[in-house]
Parts: sequence; C-alpha cells; structure tokens
Amino acid sequence: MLDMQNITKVYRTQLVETHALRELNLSVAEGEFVAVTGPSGSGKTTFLNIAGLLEEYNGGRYLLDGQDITRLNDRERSRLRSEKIGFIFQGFNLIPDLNVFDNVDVPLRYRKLSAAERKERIEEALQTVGLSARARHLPAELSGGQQQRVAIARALAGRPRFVLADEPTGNLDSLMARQVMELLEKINEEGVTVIMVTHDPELARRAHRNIHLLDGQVSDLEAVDPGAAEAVA
Amino acid sequence: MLDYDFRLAWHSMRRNPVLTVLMIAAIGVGVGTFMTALNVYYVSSKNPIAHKNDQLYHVQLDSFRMGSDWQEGREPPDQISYIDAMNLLRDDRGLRQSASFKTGFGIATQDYEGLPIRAVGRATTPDFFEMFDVPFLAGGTWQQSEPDVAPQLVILSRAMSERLFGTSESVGESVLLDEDDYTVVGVIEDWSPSPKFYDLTNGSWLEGEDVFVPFALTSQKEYETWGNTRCSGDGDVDSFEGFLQSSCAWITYWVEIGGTGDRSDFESYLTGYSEAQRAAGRYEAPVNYRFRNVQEWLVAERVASDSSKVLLWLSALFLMVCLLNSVGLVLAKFTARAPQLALRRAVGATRGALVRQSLVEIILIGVVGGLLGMVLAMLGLQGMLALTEASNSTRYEMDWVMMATAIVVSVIATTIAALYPALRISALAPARYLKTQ
Repeated sequence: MLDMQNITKVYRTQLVETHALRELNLSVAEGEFVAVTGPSGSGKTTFLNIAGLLEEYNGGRYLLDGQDITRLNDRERSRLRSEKIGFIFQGFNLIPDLNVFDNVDVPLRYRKLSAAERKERIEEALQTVGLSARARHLPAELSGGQQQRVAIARALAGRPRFVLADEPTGNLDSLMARQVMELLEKINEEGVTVIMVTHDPELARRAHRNIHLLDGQVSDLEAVDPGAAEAVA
Repeated sequence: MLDYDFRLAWHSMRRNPVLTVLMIAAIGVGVGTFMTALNVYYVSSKNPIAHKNDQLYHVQLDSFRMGSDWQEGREPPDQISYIDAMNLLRDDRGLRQSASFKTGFGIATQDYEGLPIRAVGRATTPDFFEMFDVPFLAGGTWQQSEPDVAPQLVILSRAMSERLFGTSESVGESVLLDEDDYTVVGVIEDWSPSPKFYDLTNGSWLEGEDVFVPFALTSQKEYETWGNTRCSGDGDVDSFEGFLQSSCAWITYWVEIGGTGDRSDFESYLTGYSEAQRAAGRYEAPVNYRFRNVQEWLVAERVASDSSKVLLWLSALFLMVCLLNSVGLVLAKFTARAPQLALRRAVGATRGALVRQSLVEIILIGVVGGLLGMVLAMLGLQGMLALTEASNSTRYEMDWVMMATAIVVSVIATTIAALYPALRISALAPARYLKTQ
C-alpha cells in the first residue's frame, strides 16, 4: 500500500544542510498498524509528512497504492490526501471558531459530496468517537481527550484508506491517551491502515509492527506480539 | 462551495475584529476620498447632451482686429457679434440654429402689486428649444419666418409660472417684462443642464433661465445683455444701435447639423462667410473660426478644471497608499490563520481553493469598505458643496453609477491588494504549521 524506496530529504539553509531522511526504505501493507519510533530528530515527522504528501522529498521513489507520487501535481496530491489519507495531530489542529460538527465537516468540504451525505458521514464519525452529543460545542468547551476524538472523527469522516497519526496522545493524560489508543485500534480493526509516530514505548508495543528510525534511516524493524501488547495495556 | 467560503469569511472577520475594522477603515477612507474626487471630475466633465454630440456645434468667428499681439490661429472669442449672428440666421444653414444671450427682466403680472421679480432670462431663437431638448409642460415656442421679426411672446419656467400664477398652466396669460406686455406661449419643465453647456461663457454651473424671449426682438426692445461681452477697439458702442453694429462678441451661437458628415459642409460655409466678411472690410484677420461639437466645446472651455484632475490624481495616489497599508494588514490577517489553512491543505484543499477562500473574504471586506467609502464620499461631496456657491447645489450628487463605481473600485482595489498575500499564504508548507500549532 505504502512503499518508499531510497527516500531522501535534506533541509538546506545558508549555513547548514540537515539530512532528515537518508535513503529510507519502508513498506506498509494494507490493514497494518505500524508504530514509528525514534529519538527526536530521527526523521519520524518528516517521514509522516512525506507519507501524507505534505512535504516534497529530494530523491527516491514513493508509491501510494501503486501510484508514483513524484509525478502528481498539486491538485492530484490534494485529491489523494482528501480521498485516501486521514491525519491526526498531536496538537489536534481543530479550528477554534467552528463547532465540532463543522470541524469534522472540513475535509468533506473539499470533496464533491452532497449535504445529506456529508451530514451522514459526520454523524457516523461522531458516533464512532462517542461525541454525538457534543456536535454543537466549540473546541474550547471540550477536554483535551474530547478534542483529540473530534480530530479522529475528522480523519474518519473522509473514510480514509490509511490514517497518519503524529504523537496522537502526546498532549493527553494516561486515561485519555488510552481511550484514543483504543479508538485507533478500533479503526484499524475495521480495515484502516494506521501509521502512528510516537515516543511512548508502551503505545508502540500495541502496534502490529514497530519501525525504529535513527538519523533518517530505519534502524530496526520489529514485529510486536499482539499478546504482549495486551499484557502491557 | 462559495457559500462555505462566505461562511468562513464571516467567521474570519469576526475572529480578528480589530484587523477587520482597520482594513475596512483603510479601504473605506481611500475609496471615499477617491470617489469624492472622481465624482467632482465626473460631474464637471460629463456631457449633458451626449446623444446629440455630433449634431450640435458651437460657432466662433474671429471678427476682432488683429492688433499688435495677433498670432495666426488665435482662439476666436467664445461668442459672436450681433451682425454675424443675424447674418448666419439669415443664411439659415444646417438643420437648426440658435442665437442667444443671457438677459434679465423685472417680471410681474398685470395685477401684481409688489415690486417686480428679478428674473434671469434668455433671448433666443425658437430652434433653441428643440435643439437642446428643452421639455415643454404646456404650449410651445413662438413661430417666426424672419430672424428679426417675432411676436411679443414669452416662455416661462415652471417655477416662474407657478410663482406668478400659482400654476404651470399659464399659456395665454399676460406678463409684464420691464413693464412691457408679453403673452405666455409656453411653459417648460424646470430645466438646468449641468454643466450649462449651451452657455459656458457665462457660468458653466449656473442654473437655467426662468424667462425666454424672442432674440428677434433684441433690436426693437433693446434687451440688455446680462452676460459677458468682449469688444475689440470698437468706436461707438455708446448707443444700443452702435453696440449692435459693433464687432463686440456677446451672442452664443449653435448650429444643429445632420451629423459628422455635414460638418465639413458647414465649415466650408464658415470659411466662405469669413472670406466674404474680410473682403467687405469687417474682418481684419485671415479666416479663423472654430466649429466644435458639445464635447469639444466642454474641453476647450476647460469645464473639467485642471484642479479637479489634480485632485483626482492625488486621491488615486492616496487610495494606493491605503491599499499598500491594506496589503500589510491582509498579510498579517492571513499569516495569523496559517495553521488553519495548513490544516485545510492537509485534508484535501488545493492551493486554488485556499486562494479562493481568502479572496472571498477580501471581496466581502471590499464590499463593506466600498459601502463605507460611499458614505464618506457623500460626506466629502457635502464638504465640497460647502466650499462652493449655493447655486451649485445640484451638482455633486452620488448617482447610482457613482455608487456602483464605489463598490466596484473597492472590490477591485482590495482584490489587487489581497492577491499577493493570498498567493503567498496558499504556498506555505503545511507541515511547518501543523507541527507548531
């Protein structure tokens, strides 16, 4: 589903060149739950941004669902993001002056969907994350965990093929983090591929597979025993 | 999708009310100033009878002495002499002709007991009314077959008729003009073209006349001119008859021709006429005349003054300064919401969709700024009025064309101001803002 071959990413300033990714080779199959770990500066977020078509890369080849991303223009990339990818961010990235319903509606607005279909998808997504009763609330009226669940609902409303989560529990306490993790697992069980960047080894162990990045390269691929993950939880 | 963009624009305007108000104020002040100047220029340069522009021509003849400062092709006097006017009327070229001059009377009815009313009038030929589309309420003009023979008839304005008789239905009534008895033959609707194109020499912005009498009676009744007179070293102008026979220029002369095709014919006639007058010893200077249509005459008389042009340019510069300020404000506004735009990019918005969203907001601000500009322009025009004479009170008005122009100028200006910030913000790397939010 996701296949990166020799991907390199270099950030250049006048004084210095920083190699964020060095010939990264990485594949994720459909339906997997992959945790990407690594120390700060190892290239986790850069990998996620390139995977989500939010950033260009300097070299290599990236195939998404067999489609070579290098050849796509801005409009085609936007369409791909809209139709196949769902994003969950550490900082939630909700729009403060839109209520929950309208926040979940944001990605749907860039797809040619009828108002009725959008409404149906939004209600379904809010039901999945257990926030149907909060549809008319503003983000500021919700707890951090609830806000992240709204962000998950926003990612789900587009019915993506895979979800990219960047430290989704980084701003949450342990109870709320657990709830969010359970939601991600539930989404994955329904067939959505999940790629999660995390610092938290406990959360990483709950994924099907861990990818450890170091200095912009995969340093270790580790399959996690689901039984062990349950024991940790 | 547009309705969604409008909703987002409204949210955004409310999110940063201070920035929004500052932008609207900057645009409103710029547009208001520009529209005030544009209105002054528009009013002062418009042609009130544009539909007849190529039919109506103003005649100037150089009947003056050459003098020591003579230069070939000098501008002939704005008006012509009585002799020339009578000659042209007798020759009767073109479709219609109008010789007229500003005059005035003490006017009263037969049974009026107070002092006569001082009325500004015009002695003119009957074609005047049809040539210049003067609207009649009742009756019509007088008939005459010879240029110097006419009945003792008068045409009143509606205002004068109502003042004298309490009604506009005064045709057939008798009035006294300087104690001389005239019969009302027609009443016209209050008519005051602005600028007063048919007599720019005597005040481009003065109001129309209340009394019209036959030009043909000038010699017999010795109508005094209340307008400008230019003479060129004439000897005997002490008597009225001497004045009529002099080369003094005091009569405004207009000709109506079939169209531009007839222009050269009439110019040939004027050439021939001037040569004949020179041969007869009346003219000293070589053939020199002007034959200008209405627009050319307005330009020649500089009705749209240089000061109004300068004002227009200055106000356009001021609008640009306001726009440059707005660019900064727009950039600040857009930058503040970069994380939100980055999120929209991440979930599928194209660059074009973000540019459109930004421009919709700016157009909305432009419309509100335009409305503010319109109000400020109205106030500005009131200020201009206060600086001018009371008689000019009908001049500066925001008509619907000007109002629409204010909105259009504002929207175009704000769109131009917002285009660079909108393109720039839509090109930002979303990843940078998503992580840092």
